[in-house]
Parts: sequence; C-alpha cells; structure tokens
Amino acid sequence: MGALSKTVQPQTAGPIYTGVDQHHDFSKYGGVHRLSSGSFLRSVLAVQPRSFSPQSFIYWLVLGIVLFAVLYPAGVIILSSFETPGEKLVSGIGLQAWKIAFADPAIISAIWNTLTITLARQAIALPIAILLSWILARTDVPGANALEFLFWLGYFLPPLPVTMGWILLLDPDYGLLNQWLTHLPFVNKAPFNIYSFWGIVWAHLTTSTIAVEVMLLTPAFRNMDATLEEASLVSGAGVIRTIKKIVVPLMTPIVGVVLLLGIVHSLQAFELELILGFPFRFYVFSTQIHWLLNQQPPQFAAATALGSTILFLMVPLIALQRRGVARRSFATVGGRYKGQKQSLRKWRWLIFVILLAVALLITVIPLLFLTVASFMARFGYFSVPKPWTALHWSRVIDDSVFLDSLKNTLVLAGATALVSVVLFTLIAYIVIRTNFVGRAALDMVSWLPSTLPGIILGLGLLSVFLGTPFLRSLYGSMFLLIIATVISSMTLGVQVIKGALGQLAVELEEAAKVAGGSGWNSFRDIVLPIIAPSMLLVGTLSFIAAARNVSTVALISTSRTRPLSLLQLDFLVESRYESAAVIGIIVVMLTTGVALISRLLGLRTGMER
Amino acid sequence: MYESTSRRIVPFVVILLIGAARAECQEWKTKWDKVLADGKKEGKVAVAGPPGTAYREVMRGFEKKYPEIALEFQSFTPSNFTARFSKERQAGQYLWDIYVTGPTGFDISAKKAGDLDPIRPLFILPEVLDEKAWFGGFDKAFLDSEKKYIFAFQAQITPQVLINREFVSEKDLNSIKGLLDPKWKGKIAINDPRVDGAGNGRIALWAGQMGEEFVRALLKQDLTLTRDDRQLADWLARGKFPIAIGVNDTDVAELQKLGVGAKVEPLGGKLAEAWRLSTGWGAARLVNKAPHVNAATVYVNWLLSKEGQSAWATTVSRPSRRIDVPRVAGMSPEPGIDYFDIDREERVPLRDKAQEISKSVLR
Repeated sequence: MGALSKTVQPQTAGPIYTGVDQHHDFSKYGGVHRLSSGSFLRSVLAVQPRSFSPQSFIYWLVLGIVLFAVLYPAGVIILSSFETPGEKLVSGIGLQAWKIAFADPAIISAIWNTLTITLARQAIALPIAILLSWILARTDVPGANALEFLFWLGYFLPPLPVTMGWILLLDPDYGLLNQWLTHLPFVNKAPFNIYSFWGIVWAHLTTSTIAVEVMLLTPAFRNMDATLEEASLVSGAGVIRTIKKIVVPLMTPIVGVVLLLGIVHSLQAFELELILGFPFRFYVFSTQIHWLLNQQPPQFAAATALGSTILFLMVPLIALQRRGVARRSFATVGGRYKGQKQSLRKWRWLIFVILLAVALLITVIPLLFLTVASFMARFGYFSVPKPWTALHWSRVIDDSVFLDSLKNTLVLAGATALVSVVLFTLIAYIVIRTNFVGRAALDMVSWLPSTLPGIILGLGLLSVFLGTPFLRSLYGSMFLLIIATVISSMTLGVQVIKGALGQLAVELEEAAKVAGGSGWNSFRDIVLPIIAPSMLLVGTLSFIAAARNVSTVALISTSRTRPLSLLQLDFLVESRYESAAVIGIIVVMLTTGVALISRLLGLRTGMER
Repeated sequence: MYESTSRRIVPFVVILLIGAARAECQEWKTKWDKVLADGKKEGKVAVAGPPGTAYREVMRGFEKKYPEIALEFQSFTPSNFTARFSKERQAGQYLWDIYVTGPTGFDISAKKAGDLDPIRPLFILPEVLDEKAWFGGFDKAFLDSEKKYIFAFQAQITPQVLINREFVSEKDLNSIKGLLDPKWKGKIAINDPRVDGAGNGRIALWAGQMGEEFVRALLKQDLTLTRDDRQLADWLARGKFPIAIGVNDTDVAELQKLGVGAKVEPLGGKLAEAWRLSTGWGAARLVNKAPHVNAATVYVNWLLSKEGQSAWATTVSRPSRRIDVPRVAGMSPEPGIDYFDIDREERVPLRDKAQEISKSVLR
C-alpha cells in the first residue's frame, strides 16, 4: 500500500490553490508568486510590475468590489464594538462593550458548549457525508442522482418546522416515538430526550448538517479521476482503505473547506439551540448574541464584540486551511481523466437501501413534518376534533402582500443567484488560476462574510449603505438587498467553485492555448463545461440562501421590497408556525424548481457528460 | 330685579356658549381641513409598526379612508427598528413619521436623545380628545411622565400566571403566594424574565407589589425558561409544565378553541397580584424631524378614532383603551378597577430591577 500511495500522490508539487503549478509558464508574469497566509499583507501591498491589460483591470475591479463590500462592513462592525453607548447613540470609544459581552458568567459555558457541539456535529457528520458522497459519485449504486437530489432537498427545508417535528417525536413527556417505545416490555422510561445535548446534535444532523455536506462534497468526488481508485482497489486495498488512503487525501482541500464551513455555521447556529437548549439552560455563543440584541435598549456594541470574536477566531483557521492546501496540488481532472465508477457488485442494493434510509431520515421525514404542519389546525395535536385544515394555506395565499412578496423573492433570489455565479466564478478563477498580486487577499476576504452572524453583518451593511453617498440614494431599493444577499452567500459560493477549479489540472487549458485558443476560449471551452455543475450548485445555494434570509434582509428591506421570508417572520412572531410552514413549502418548491433545472443542466455538462 | 337681570343674562350666556362651541368646532374643523389638505399634498406617511400580519391588515382601513395618502407600513421587531433607526439617524436620514410598538427601552433613550417629538399636538379630532372615550381618562393613556410622547391606545388585562387544572387542583394551589411551596419546584415554566418581555413584566409587577424577597424565592423554584411563546403554551396545555408565567393568552385561547387545555385558567382570582394591565404592541410615538408630519397627523387621528380602534380590536383581537369600541372577551379591562400598569415610565426602574434579580438568580 505504501508503494501504491506513492504512485497515486498528486503529480505536481506546485501549489495549485494559489494558481501555480510546475506545468504553468509564469515567466511572462515576472516570476512565481507562491503565496501563503504569511504573505497576505505583502501580496496586498506589493507593487506589481506589469503592463495594463483588460484581464488585470478585471482582476483589480473584482478585488476592489470585494474589498469594499466585505472589509468595509467588517471594519465598521469591529469599530462599533469599541463604541460606548450613550444618550446620543455613541458617547465615546472604549472597551465597555467588550466588558459587557464577556462579563456575563454564562459566556464561559456558552463558549464551551459551542465548541463541544461543533465538535460533535462535525465529528459525526463529516465522515458520514464523505462516505455518502463517495458512494453517490464514485460507485454504481442504483438511483444515485435521485438520492443525491434528496439530500439537496433536505438542505432546502426550513429548520424550525422540522425541529418542531422532532420535538413531536422525541419530547421526553409527550413525544410520539417515546410513547410508542415505552409500550415495549423492556422500556420503562422515555429513551429519548430532544431537550439535551445529543438532542440538539441530532436535530442539527438531520435538519441540515449532513445534507449540506453531501451536497458540497458529491460534485467534488464526481470530478475525481477513477484511475487512482482503480489502482488502489486492484492492489487489494479494499473500499474503506481506498477511501482513507486515496480519496480523502485527494479531497483534502474540499473536505477542509466543508469542515471549515461546518465550523463557521456551527458557531452561528442559534434557532435550534434557542428552542431546544433554553429549557435546560444550554446556551451557546450565538444565543448570547441574540440575548444581547434582545436587551432594552439592545446592546449592539456588545453583540458586535461577540460577533467580531467569531471573526477573529476564524481568521487563523482560514489561514491554516489556505496554508494546508497551498503546499500541494490536488488536481484530479487532467488530460488522462477517467470518470468510470467503481462497481459495488453484490453490495449494490444493500448500500442503496442504507442510503435511502439516511435520505428518508434527513429529507423525507422532515418534509413530511413540514407538509403535515401546513395542513394541521395546530401541529402535533392529532386527537383534537378537527385536526386537519387548509386554513393556513388560504391565510398565506389570501394575504394582501403575498403576491408582491413572492415577486420580490423571485427577483431577489434570482438576481442573487445570477450575480453570485458570475462574481464567485471570477473570484475563484482569479484565486486559483492566476498569479494576480491580490489573489491571497481576495481568497481570505471571501471567507469573512460567513464568519459574521447574519444580523451583525446586516448592521455592518446598513452602515455601509447609509454611509456611502452613492449607495445612499439606492437605500430602500431591491439593488441593495441583492448586494447584501450576494455578500451573505459569498464564502460558500467561492469555496465551491474554488474546489472545482482546484481539481482541474492546468494542462487542459494549456492544451487549448497550444492549439491556438485565447485565454477566454480555453476558459469557455475547457474550464466552464467542467465546472458548470459547481456553478449551478452555487446558483442554487445562493437562491435558497437569498430566499430564506431574514436577519440581514430585515434590516434593509422596505414595504415595497419585502420578500417572503419577512412575511414568514410575521407569522412566526404571531406563533402561527403552520402558516410559516406554508411559506417554507413555497420557498422549497421555488428552490426545487431552480435546483431541478440546474441539475438537468449540470448533469448534461461537467464530468458526467 | 335679579330675576329680570338673569332673564336677560341667561340667553346671552347661552348664545355665548353656543358661539364658543361653534368657534371651537370651527377651530378644529379649520385645523383638520388644513392638515388633511397638507397631508394629501405630502402624499404619504411612513409608519414603523409591530411584526405580525394582523397589525398590517388593520392599517388597510387607513388606506381605504384616505386613498390620497399612501401608507408605507413596515413591520419590525423592536431591536431591528432600534438598529435601523439609529444607523439612519447617524447618516442624517429622517425617514419615519410614526412608530407603533409596545413600550421598550427605545422610548427612554429616544426621548433623552431628542429623537421623539410630542405626539399630543397631533391629536385634533374631538373624538380622539374625548376624555370619556378612554379607559381611565385621556391623560392616563400617556406612558411617559411628561404625558405627551407615548400614547398607549391598547389596554389589555393579562393574567400573571396560567395554570392547567387538569394537573393541579384548586385545593393544591389557589394563590400566587402558593407558588413558593417546594412541591411546585420543577413544575413551573416562565417566559425568560432576563430580557424585556412578558416574563420580565410579571416579575416586575411582583417585585413592586409583593417585594423582592418573594421574587427571589419564586425564581429559585427551579423554573424552566423559554423565549418561545408557542412552546410555553404547548407545555401548559399538555401539562408538561402545568404552571406557566408570562404565557401568551392568545396562544392558549387558540388551543382552547381546538379543545386542548380546556382547564387552563388564571391563578389567583381577581387579586391585584394576579393581573396586570398591558399595552402589548399598541402605543404610538411621533419621530422627530418626521418628513410627512401632516400626513402623520391624519394617520394618528384615524388610528385613535373610533373607527381605527374598532379595526384594531376586531382585527388584532386586542382590546383598545377606547371604551366605545367592541370589547375583547376576557382581555378588556373592567371599569372601576385600578390595575397595576407596569408599562408606565415611572415603573421602568422596577422593570430594570426585575431584570437584575432574574439575571442574578437564573444563571
């Protein structure tokens, strides 16, 4: 196996994640810029001795836009954490907000709880997601495409009604599953308790964590060269060992990115913790932020101090991840690419059943919860005289702002998806495929939006939109909402496309250039078709993120630009969760339509073609 | 002599009074007509209001009555509005006219910062200014100590504690003081009193009426916290926690309509410590430098009129402070009873104290 490992080691030593590998001739750019996080500042400040070209203009323009759109609000947020609140909004500068934020004795346990729950979530979800993705993308398991789509669907479902569904099943006092199980002769008390550490972990795993990780990893696995696995299997390594020794190392960058994204999302998760954690006084970092924002008057400065802490904590991890992937090439799609799938032989149907069971657990059951919730007089009360009703549907559809909100959502989510695909592809291309002097800065900065909780990012954007004269005139318009949702989706989108580009060996584009094609031609004819599935995935993810966004959008929308997510918020505030579930279903239907189209397009292009 | 003089004076006085009344009538009418005409010229009014579909629907009545004035109504949670309002002010943007929401910390800080203008001068219609039309009188509807900035037009009585009698009999518990019995440890759930809201209001009332010691002892009864109204109502109705403090009675009423929690009832009978007077989301303020002050005047007069308040009471199902509009069963205050109103500005220290105690006990 040792010998085998050597044979399948990535063939290039160049740091493909900085766009550099040994096959590429960089002499015309004035030498190789091998960048790591350490050279981040130098890369930004370095003077680039090169002549002006349309490409470099675009690169600088993209860098300028991203720096302005991300660093400006992030800077405002950090600065506002040092503001001292007073009678006239801000009375001075100091550390008072930080003291308030960290003076609460609950903050220590909140940090500890956040770390342990993040660790538990990722320790369980990531190995499962890697295995599931590999099976879906690299084996001949029946119905792989349909199963993969079920995981997509799982991610689209709104978490709150799904969590209510799990409460209905797993509440220690009245949970249906617990009640059924206690009828068994050897079960004396309710075996499950949703209001517990593991209850929260379970709810996270089944609402989104596994689904999104499968969603992100499967396209990357699909782009893996089959010859590497074949070599391993032929040498008798077995499936699990092949995954461990071949697949995982080759997938390191994307797995690292998925892990990092998972950590960031775990740090920000708060809805489930608020519902399931509060009853047993289980607080996490984000519930502390929520708590500060719900003080009267709201403690914005202290909340931004906590929000900034996540940012400061994540920056070294992001740098570490960049450094890790910068040392090697992870290109798996080269001139000799072979997309053949591994045969599962006699295990094929058994694995299919297992996969189906997982998909049912994280998609079909929650979808059932959601649908049932939308048709019940009150979700969970099956024994009342008239448990079923269509009232919630008519309440939503007859609402005077429903149609306008639907239209706004379509415009917002559709435009966000389009802008995201174009902008994030450009960013990823610049980072991976060029030696542009600001690419490390671009890469680092694209991570920042995800490190800030939605409402904190919303506060920063609000300051930017109001504080910038040329944007102020657009305040209240749909344009600013689109900018906000694009920024919110940036990290995930850029990382997904970066992952796909990183797997693509530079030799393919070089071949096109050797054959006389221009840079644009090689991008259009070689790169674009291969990364198209990832671009479409990004479009879909940006669509759903924009359609569901509440925290950022609530701060900058107006009565004319109000999307469905704010109508849903109205219902949630009124405790009309059933009506909110109806909106959840409508958003899922819209996104599923977009996802189906993008998958049809994606499967016709890319490595499946 | 006197008789003949009085015979001559009385008609004179009557004529004078009629004249004065007519002049007064003429005065408000003239003022109203001018404001209405100017409001129509302004063409719109920007109102920030509470979240919830019902509140938005109430406002449709204004659009129908005054189609020439476009109503830009936007829902906000209090913290979202505070954030947006403060950032807009920092940028010199003055976009809002009227802010309708419950009493929050925003009121105190905005008043101190000069971000509110007196709303009282906006009231023109006689039916709005009618002393007899309001529960406890017109002045009592102002929550601020100056009686001119924050007008609470909703007055709802809410029980401090709801109890599910299916699980706890009247014999076992029939008073608020009885909650301190150790046998109720672990059986009480509360809307988190450490933040502004229903739970904090309850604790503040008891801190004022029954003393700090009672509050501390109660908070030590192993209370289960939630910030989700629906969860609290479900727990109570299902008996998971048969005693609930700060539960939203509308949620319970919805459950009872379905036949669930039929035996849920207020604890403590008619005693003062068992009920509070609540403003809910129903209080209006005039934001300073309002861009459409005439349209805002038309809007406020409509909102506080019999028509506006009837729409509020029937659409939102929350009782108005006006006593000449439809009552909301079980929520409208009874005349002659002096309820403890925790929402008044002078009671802010009590609310702060309640939060402080809650934070120190419920870690």
